[in-house]
Amino acid sequence: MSKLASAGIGLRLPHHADFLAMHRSTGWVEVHSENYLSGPALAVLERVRADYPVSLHGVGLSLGSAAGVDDTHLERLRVLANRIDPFLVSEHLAWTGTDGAHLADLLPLPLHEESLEIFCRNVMQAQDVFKCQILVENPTTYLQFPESTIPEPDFLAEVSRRTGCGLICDINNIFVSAHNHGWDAQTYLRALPREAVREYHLAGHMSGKGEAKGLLLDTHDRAISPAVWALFDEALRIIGPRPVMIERDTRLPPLSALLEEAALAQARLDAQAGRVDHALVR
Amino acid sequence: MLSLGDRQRKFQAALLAMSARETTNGLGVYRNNVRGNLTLALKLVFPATLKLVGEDCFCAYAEKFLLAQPPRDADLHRYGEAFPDFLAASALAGQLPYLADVAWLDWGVHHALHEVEIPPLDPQTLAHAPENFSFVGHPSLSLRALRRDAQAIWAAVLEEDDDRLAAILPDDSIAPLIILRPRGLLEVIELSPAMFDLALTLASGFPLDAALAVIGDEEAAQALGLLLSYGMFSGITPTATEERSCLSR
Repeated sequence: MSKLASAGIGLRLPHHADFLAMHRSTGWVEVHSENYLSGPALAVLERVRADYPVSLHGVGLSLGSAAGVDDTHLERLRVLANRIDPFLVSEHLAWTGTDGAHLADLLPLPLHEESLEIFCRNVMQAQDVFKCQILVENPTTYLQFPESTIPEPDFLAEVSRRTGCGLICDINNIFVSAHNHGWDAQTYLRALPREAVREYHLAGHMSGKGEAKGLLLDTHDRAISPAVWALFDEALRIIGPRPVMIERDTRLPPLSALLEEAALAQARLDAQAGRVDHALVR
Repeated sequence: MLSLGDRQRKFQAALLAMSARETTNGLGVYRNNVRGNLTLALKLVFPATLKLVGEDCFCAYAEKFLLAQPPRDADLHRYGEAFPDFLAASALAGQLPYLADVAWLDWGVHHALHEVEIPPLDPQTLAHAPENFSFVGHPSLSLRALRRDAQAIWAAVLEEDDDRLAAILPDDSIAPLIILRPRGLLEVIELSPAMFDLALTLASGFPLDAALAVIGDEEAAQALGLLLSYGMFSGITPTATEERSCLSR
């Protein structure tokens, strides 16, 4: 198992001081690239970079945009990547706005041949600029479009095949989307090309209320649910150990709580690695 | 079948136009996410404005603003420059005439802290400047002639000093300010009205000789020297002769 097939945490701005002062360790950290383009946060990230491998996880590149990606923003991300030298660079199967607007949310993409071609073109442009493979994360979605013709894991597999990009397998996103659309989560996992998956994400979710009643919401505001841990165990069996990141974005708990969840994930990675080693010996 | 571009335009229009009552299940989640994320971004940029008007009022005006003027950039640190003038044109301005200026102070500080750090122009460079040139404003720079009471209100609100806030007397006289961070330290500097006019003209890209026409000759050298010492510019750019003559007219 690679030394980076370990558990890390998503580093968020309110945890900066605690993270720099902490005596415990974590395998690596992932940050939202757009929060570290400039200013005091970038200075903190450069200090963190001295001690930990860093993964840059973008949320604003809009790889699914029919109008293409924003060259100015892509260049800013390239400059950041050159400065930080991340071990992973990633984005999402999503778009964030059109006609020049940026709506600060990961919006759902209709999945068909035209969107596949556009998405692949944008991924290849990003990889050309970063001069490295990028990873694409499966999104949480709350609706599906009638014009979609390609199942989501098949779409991701084809993007990876055509562009050479890797994938982030977000276990919570699969769990939430499977519930929202009546998919089978294990079938989804089996449809992903295991060799392309280079990272897992784990996070918490909640049940929707009011107009969102009946949906699960990808809130990143609470501990990982037992059902998502169980699906993670399944992913480790189907896909294998990969770096795993604990994601929390709102209602941030103390940093120690995230590190404890990372330790739980690490124990599962270690147990799976032990099983793999044992199988090899036999 | 809708093309991807048409689908995205239709979806975005639905997100930005919907009222809460018109939502359907999944679309409503995205609507709430967009409004929640952008409102949060504005709260982080405008801390004093938020404290001054309160959570509910701020969120109501933030939502009106973000629906009318959604971000044009994926870097949300760049979002909100137009919010002070949006507030100035709102009904709130009648009750809180200093509000837009307080919001501008929030913006100016946020902008200065998050702009790319580059060194200011070295005045020695001007010895080798082309015959015709204009200055490039430092990227961290913001300028505004605001109500004199706004800065005191802004500071008292941020420090949560209610006694000091209550003691501030209304003062609608003009305080011309620049906010910048040319050397790693945030600076909020009040200028004389004449210097402010010069600073505004130069920062707008007018050639030096045209800009100097707005200020008396005797004051010009001293004023320019002060602006350079503040680090207000990051460079110079040659100006075409035709452009100069056009601007001079």
